[in-house]
Amino acid sequence: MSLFLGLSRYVSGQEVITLLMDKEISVKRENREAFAAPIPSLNLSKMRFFTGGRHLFRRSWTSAPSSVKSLDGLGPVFNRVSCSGCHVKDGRGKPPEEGSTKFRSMVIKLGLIKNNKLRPDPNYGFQLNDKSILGVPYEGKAKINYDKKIIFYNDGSSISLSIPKYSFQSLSFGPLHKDTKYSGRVAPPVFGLGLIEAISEKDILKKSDPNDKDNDGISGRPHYILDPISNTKKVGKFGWKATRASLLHHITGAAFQDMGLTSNIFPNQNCMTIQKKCIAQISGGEPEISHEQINRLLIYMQTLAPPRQRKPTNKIISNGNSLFHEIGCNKCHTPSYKTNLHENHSELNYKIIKPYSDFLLHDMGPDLDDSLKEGQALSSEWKTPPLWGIGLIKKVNKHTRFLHDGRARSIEEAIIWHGGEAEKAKNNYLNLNKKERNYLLKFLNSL
Amino acid sequence: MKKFFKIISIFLTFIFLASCSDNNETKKLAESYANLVSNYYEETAKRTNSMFLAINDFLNDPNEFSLENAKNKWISAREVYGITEAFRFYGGPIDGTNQYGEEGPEGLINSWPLNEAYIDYVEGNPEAGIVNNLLYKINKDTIMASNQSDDDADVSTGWHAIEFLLWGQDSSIETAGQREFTDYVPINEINNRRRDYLLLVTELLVEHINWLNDQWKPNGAGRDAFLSKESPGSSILTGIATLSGFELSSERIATALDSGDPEDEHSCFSDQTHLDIRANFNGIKNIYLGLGINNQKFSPSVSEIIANKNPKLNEKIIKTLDSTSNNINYITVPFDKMLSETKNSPGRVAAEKTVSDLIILAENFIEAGKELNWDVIIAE
Repeated sequence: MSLFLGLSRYVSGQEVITLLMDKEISVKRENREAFAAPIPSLNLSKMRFFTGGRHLFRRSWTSAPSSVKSLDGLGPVFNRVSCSGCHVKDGRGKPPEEGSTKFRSMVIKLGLIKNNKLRPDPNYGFQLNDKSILGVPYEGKAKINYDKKIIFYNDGSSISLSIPKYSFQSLSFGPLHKDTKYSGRVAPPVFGLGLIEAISEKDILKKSDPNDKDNDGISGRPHYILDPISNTKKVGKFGWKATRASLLHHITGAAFQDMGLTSNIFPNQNCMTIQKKCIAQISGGEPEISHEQINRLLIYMQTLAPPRQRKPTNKIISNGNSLFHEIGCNKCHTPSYKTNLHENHSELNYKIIKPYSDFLLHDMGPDLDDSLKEGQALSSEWKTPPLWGIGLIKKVNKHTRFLHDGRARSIEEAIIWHGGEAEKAKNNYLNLNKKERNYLLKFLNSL
Repeated sequence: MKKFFKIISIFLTFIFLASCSDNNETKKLAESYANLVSNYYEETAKRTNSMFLAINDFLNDPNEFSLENAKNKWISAREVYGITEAFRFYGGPIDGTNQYGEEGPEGLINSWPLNEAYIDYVEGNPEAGIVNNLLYKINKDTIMASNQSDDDADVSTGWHAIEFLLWGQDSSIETAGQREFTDYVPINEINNRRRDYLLLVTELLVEHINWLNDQWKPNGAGRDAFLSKESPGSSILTGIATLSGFELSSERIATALDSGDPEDEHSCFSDQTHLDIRANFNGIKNIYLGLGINNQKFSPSVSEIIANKNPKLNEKIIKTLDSTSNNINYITVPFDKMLSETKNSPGRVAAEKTVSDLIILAENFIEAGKELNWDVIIAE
């Protein structure tokens, strides 16, 4: 009996609906610092690396050469000078005001497809860097305007969605290549990532169903990528299209693309051939962000705790939880896992976590197709983003912008943007009455 | 069989009485603690207000001496504020969210590290910051809204903003920041803006500290919420354990030791980090021992309750407190000078020892919590 209970508690995707996250690795904060806590079980002797990583996460980098040698090497072209500039309070970024070129916590990815592979724009690379150090031209500025689209619920009421339209100005090296596609990406929250690292591939693959053999209209598939850290093929877990399997790869990639910092993993400067002044700049060290600094950042990222669900037993919230399952949200937003072994931190081993994601790629339909294919992920495919902490974004980041480009202005808009494999669940949502929709939203806001 | 029931019932009565007296004791502790908190916030409010008056005097007549006086009042107020940081970390008025969803003012009072260029000019960037941005309308609302709005280091309010405005950037390891009083002589628009900023940001701090003080006064909403907690003992211990094992040891000392970066120093403009460390430590010690301003005794204290239950543990904690206090005395002053010293210099070794003592203390507090059935979770 106890064995059976044990199994049903732990098997991913078949969990008891009321299963809660383990307290050793989750926190109950509800304030602006809700995403900024270490896992409660973090060994006290490691705490200094956690706080060291946090300081580094918040420090502004400067152009080389500078008086603080350990923190120079910014750019030459970049988007922000610190990690926390985009991941404010370890939380979620947002698009700029409509029509403004001030991108603070969002970037524009670029690329063109050649021989079925994503290639950089010849003059601007894989990402538009809208800032630069003194004496080097920035690449260019972007802005977003929105079109409107009205969607009706089954009960006759309606909601208006905004469709982003990008335009570019002050491009320093001429127009983008005629085949270059672009896609906006807001900064995702950065807590709970070590726990995601500790999920075994086996548990993720359990839900993989690329040919939709079970005929439920959902055909999630893993994004296999070559992980440069281990030089092996792995299931991607990080990034909007699951393009990275290890956090080390993920954070060095961000330091490189967003801040222009070279590292052991990304040793070359981020200057395209035409950007002569960028190439001529002095490096801030080989590499600019040291192995030791990366390690501190990594420990910080790996041990930032996810927030616990608030009031899970509240009647409205548990009704919402039931609806979440009834209308099929849980089919991709897999509520819980039991972690496996983590390579660096035994505190993360064998813990019940509730990220609400299957970490698989899904076709999200033409409306969310961003025209950029990344690795094996098609332009219409996205990794199911985790939902934990979603209800605290308003508190922590003082906004409610969701989806990869922040087009949704509320959780509800984000739901309605779902299409493709999620079309059915979305329609189920539109068919709910106002009271039921409110239950579901209350539930999501409790995560 | 009858005898068995009798034994059981005696046993149950005993448990009931024991837990009853435990409850009573915890209740008394919660009240003496609330009085102690109030005692410290009242003093903080008094000293912060003195600082406000001194800053007013300085702005009315900016000169070397009035600036020096304002700085001294900042230092004096920090000495007590640092103690009150032992009242953080358990969702109390300072950093919790109340029943109306309002968040405590901690982030507006003591955010740090602070990116200087967000507020005013820095070396290499004479036109940086809010002060120099003529399009920025300086008032209390804008200053508050700017705090950490786009980046965690973009701090616009609180102790360290005032510290930077009074001392300026610290570019030497021998001295503190060397801002001239002439920055505040009302001869141009920028100086006037800086004057406005300093005055308003100080007013804000006074308001926030007064709010905290009111929260903990008899019948204050924060005090009432604390007293009606299920386990106030857990909160008390969590506060000092987290200050000890997380905030002071790691965030404020070890991180700087590891990076060697003077910007990781807590009060880097004024070079008063040694006093910050001492004040935080006094918070841990005084809350444990039940000591208020001028060593006024607040009884029962956590120490007394533990001593009843496990005298050895109490002795151990007091011994660790003594050792920590002793080690703090030997940390090099100023703190940024220590960061440039070699790894085995006495000043650095003392800092490392302080860190390990503080971690032991935190572990002791967790152990004390177990003894009393109080959950203590660091930095939750």
